[in-house]
Amino acid sequence: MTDVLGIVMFVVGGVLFVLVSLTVGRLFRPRRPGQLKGEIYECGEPTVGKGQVQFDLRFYVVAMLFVIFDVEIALLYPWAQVFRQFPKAAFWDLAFFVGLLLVGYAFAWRYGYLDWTRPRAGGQADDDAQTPEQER
Amino acid sequence: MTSAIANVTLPGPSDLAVLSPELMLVGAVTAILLGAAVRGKRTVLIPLLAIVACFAAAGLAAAMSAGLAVQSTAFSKLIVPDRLACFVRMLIYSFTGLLGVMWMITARYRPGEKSAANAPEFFTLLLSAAVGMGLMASTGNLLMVLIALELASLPSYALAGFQKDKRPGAEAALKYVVFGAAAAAVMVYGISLLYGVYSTLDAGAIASGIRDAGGTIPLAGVIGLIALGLGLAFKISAFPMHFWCPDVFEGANVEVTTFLSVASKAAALTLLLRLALTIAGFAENAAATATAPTPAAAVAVGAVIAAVAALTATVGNLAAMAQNNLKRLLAYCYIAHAGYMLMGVAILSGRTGVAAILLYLLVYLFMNLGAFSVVALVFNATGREDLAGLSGLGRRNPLLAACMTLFLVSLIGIPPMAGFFAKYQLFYALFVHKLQWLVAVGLVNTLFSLFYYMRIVKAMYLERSDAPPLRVPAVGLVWVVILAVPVTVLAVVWQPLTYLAEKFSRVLGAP
Repeated sequence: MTDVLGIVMFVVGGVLFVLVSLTVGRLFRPRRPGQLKGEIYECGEPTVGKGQVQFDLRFYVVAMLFVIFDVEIALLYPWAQVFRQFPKAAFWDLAFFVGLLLVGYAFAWRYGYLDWTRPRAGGQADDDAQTPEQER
Repeated sequence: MTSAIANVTLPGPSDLAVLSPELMLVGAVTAILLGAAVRGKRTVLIPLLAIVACFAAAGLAAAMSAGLAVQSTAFSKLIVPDRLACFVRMLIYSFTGLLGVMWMITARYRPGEKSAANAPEFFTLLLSAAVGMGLMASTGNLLMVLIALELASLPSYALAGFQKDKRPGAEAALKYVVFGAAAAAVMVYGISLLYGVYSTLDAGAIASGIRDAGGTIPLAGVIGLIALGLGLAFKISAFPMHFWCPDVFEGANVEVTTFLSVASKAAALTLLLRLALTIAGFAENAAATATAPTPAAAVAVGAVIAAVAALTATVGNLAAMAQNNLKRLLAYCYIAHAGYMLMGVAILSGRTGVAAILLYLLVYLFMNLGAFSVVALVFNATGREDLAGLSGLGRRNPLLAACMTLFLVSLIGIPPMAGFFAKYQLFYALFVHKLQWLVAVGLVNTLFSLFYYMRIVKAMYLERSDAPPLRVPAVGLVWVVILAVPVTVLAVVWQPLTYLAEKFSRVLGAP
């Protein structure tokens, strides 16, 4: 039961901390609302337009590539730690790993999945249309 | 920082040999992508390569189990290449190969089929998912469980949404991802709790931790086990986590549905079996033979799995009655079969239980592949996937209807077919291990299932239809007939099969 007690105390303490500090602040602080105070704080810049615009879907590819290579870097870290111990094995290990990623990269490149597609008038970008046989 | 990993040992050639089937599939993926970059996407080489690689990987797994010269663990206990793992990997990889054949017959020439235009992507995802499922079947380490599960799940999400220009496909993928992410999050939480309690991620070590504590589990550990179980229940589509299944099965194209229905279930069930047997202390191990298993914990684990199994079978069968879409109906029937197989897990001991599940999986593979192939062929010819699309099939295409009836009869488990023997073996194992109430639940459920399977048969033979004869390519008919053969004939060679399954049912896992 003691291990649960710790969790309960943690949760209750967390809730109480927020409630108490907000209530105490409310009791003491002066209340002077104004238009300027109601505005969004954006580093002193005047805000322009709405916040909810549709983000360009093409950034998706950039984001995806970033995630792939970001994870790759994360996986390189333990590799770098043991590199000194097994230089040869570690080298081939990584060659295999990065090689696999490069094959996928080459495939995506070959079929134009990395291209910044320009919107075409009256039609969507279609995967099938981009096979090189048809392009030629 | 360096001290923590100072005792790193390199995996040797014997470790890599254990993963040779998986390496074979990874090599095939590389070859597919490179080949597509050179020869174009629509070349027939891609599916052929994938099929050959799958069967080769299955052969490697079979060879490994026959020799079993490999040590009982590999990669510092992350991989447990025992007979059970080899059998299930063989099953999954050869099924993936068969699925490739089905794809060539049903999907390759279907107009508007995305996976036909993008075969390299399709097979890359398919083989990656298969590798993940193979790893799921051969690990008892919770970290590896998580990695394998994600490796199996992420390509499955993409496969479910392969028809991305079709709304149901996109919806299926989205539901699958959201449910899957939630289940994975719950599972990771559970694993972290278990690590907090036992300071280890190895299921065998957790089992000895439970044994040392006199068979009791602290509350945090119980919550951890429940959360872990929920994550696995999602993959098996067991009772509280089965909601994704019908939607995903309906929205994805037939080939993907077939793949998920057999391979995913086989992998997840094996994983649950291994973890349950290990944690409840029933896995065979050389070190602690015949030590009294952890009674309290084992009884609780068995009871929970039995209850979930009974609920899953009942919910699946009852919900299936109201369905009119064939894929949806088969999805609920899939949930029901997951329930039957979970009953086998609930036995928690002895080779008979494990052997019964393995046999069930083997038979289920052929019945399901067959039934879904018929659905795919009818869809190709008529563009319909609902029950009414089958009406009058007995006259419109007698051979196809006859084969479908065989598959359905086998799925119900009516005597001459292989499905009956699989079910009989399972119920017999339950009976021997004094789980009579589960046998009763199973029998009542079989009665329920009779109703909706017979609805399909009735639509095919009794309903009149003015529709013209259904034209199906000859190769499709041959394929369905070939699949109908094992469903009928496996019953004849039942004795050797049972023997084989019992040979494969040795579970290694405890330290």
